[in-house]
Amino acid sequence: MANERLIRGRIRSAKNIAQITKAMQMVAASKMRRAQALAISGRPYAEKIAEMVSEFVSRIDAASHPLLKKAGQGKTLIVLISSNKGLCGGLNTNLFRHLVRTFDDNALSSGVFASLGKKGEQFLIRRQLTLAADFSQTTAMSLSIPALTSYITKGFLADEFREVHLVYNNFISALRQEPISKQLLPIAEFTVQKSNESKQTGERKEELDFLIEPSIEEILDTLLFHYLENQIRDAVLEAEASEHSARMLAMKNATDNANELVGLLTLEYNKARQEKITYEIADMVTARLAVEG
Amino acid sequence: MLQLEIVTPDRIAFSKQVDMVVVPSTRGAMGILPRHITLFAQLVEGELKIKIGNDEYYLAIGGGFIEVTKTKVIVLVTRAVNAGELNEQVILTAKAKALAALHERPTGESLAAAQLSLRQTIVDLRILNKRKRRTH
Repeated sequence: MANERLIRGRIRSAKNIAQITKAMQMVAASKMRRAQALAISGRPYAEKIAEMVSEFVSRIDAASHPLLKKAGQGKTLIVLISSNKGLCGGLNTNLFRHLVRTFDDNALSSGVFASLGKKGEQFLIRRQLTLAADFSQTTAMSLSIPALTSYITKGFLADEFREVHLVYNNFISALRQEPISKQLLPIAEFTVQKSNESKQTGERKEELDFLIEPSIEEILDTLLFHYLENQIRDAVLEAEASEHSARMLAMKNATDNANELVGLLTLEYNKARQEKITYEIADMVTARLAVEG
Repeated sequence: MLQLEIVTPDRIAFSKQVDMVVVPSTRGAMGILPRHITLFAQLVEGELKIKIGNDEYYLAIGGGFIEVTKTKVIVLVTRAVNAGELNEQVILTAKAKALAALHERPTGESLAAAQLSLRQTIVDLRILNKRKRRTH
């Protein structure tokens, strides 16, 4: 019967889908483990360097380095770190919703954007926002970090950007990713805040016997650049870990759904087959009765 | 004794009580003993020496920073590998590659990258050789 063959074909295609999504789930799982390990092992370093910067900056005059200057002129730069590929559930959608919610329409239309990840680039173009730079060409996102860092610092030093924000998915666990936004520049604002806090609690260390080699300017230059790069790297690693875990979850759901579909279709197929057999038997019995009669 | 911590972007490479540590700063080697004045300095790639009792350990490090506080010493570097983790064959090929890259007279970023990897391999080799001398 045509119906049976039709159902058989659908079962086959559902099975194929399950196979493919299963394979993608495995790939995403192994990538996630690697990305997760990287993101987690990078944390102590990122924390230490942030600690060093805030401690260091609180001890010296904020005017001694251009990167420490207060917000000047220019526009707000928002760096959107999304993923290059889709098929990762609501990850990017949530991120974009968060972006639109955090920054009001005015900030969105007057700000400039840099994107890392093709999905983000497409979103910005679709929304007709000012996309100043896109760094998503390289396959491993971490390769574009140096370029992105120098783009940000140069723009900030040249007064093109007043503020720099990073918007990305923070990796909390394999099941949870949370879109967050983080202010990267100017550094001065939040470190000054920190040192005020420690002043209040009376924990401020004495400033005198603190040897700095080779010189404040030289060390600040490398330290701050390093700090920025590290912050960006941290964000990228978090975003990558989030992407892979979200994809793993999405693919697991797809596999489960496909398998469920296979089950339902098999039931239907068996019903159709049984129906056919019953018809045939009924046919034979009536035929026999007719002949006997 | 002083508490030494060496942290790289991918791991905590070392965390132990030591007697002395010698680091390569921008102005030459710098030895840190207990009760050192609080210090913040920039490090260049080179060899880091750790002394615990009579034992000496060497690590090849990339550029970074050192912070000496009253209670501990924190070394933040881009890489830190001890002699046991180094493989001579790999280093030699990396060195040959760096030399070949430099031979083509690159400019800008690729020049800096080639020079960096050459310096790194030289440091790695020196540390390997030190270990060999001791084991022979």
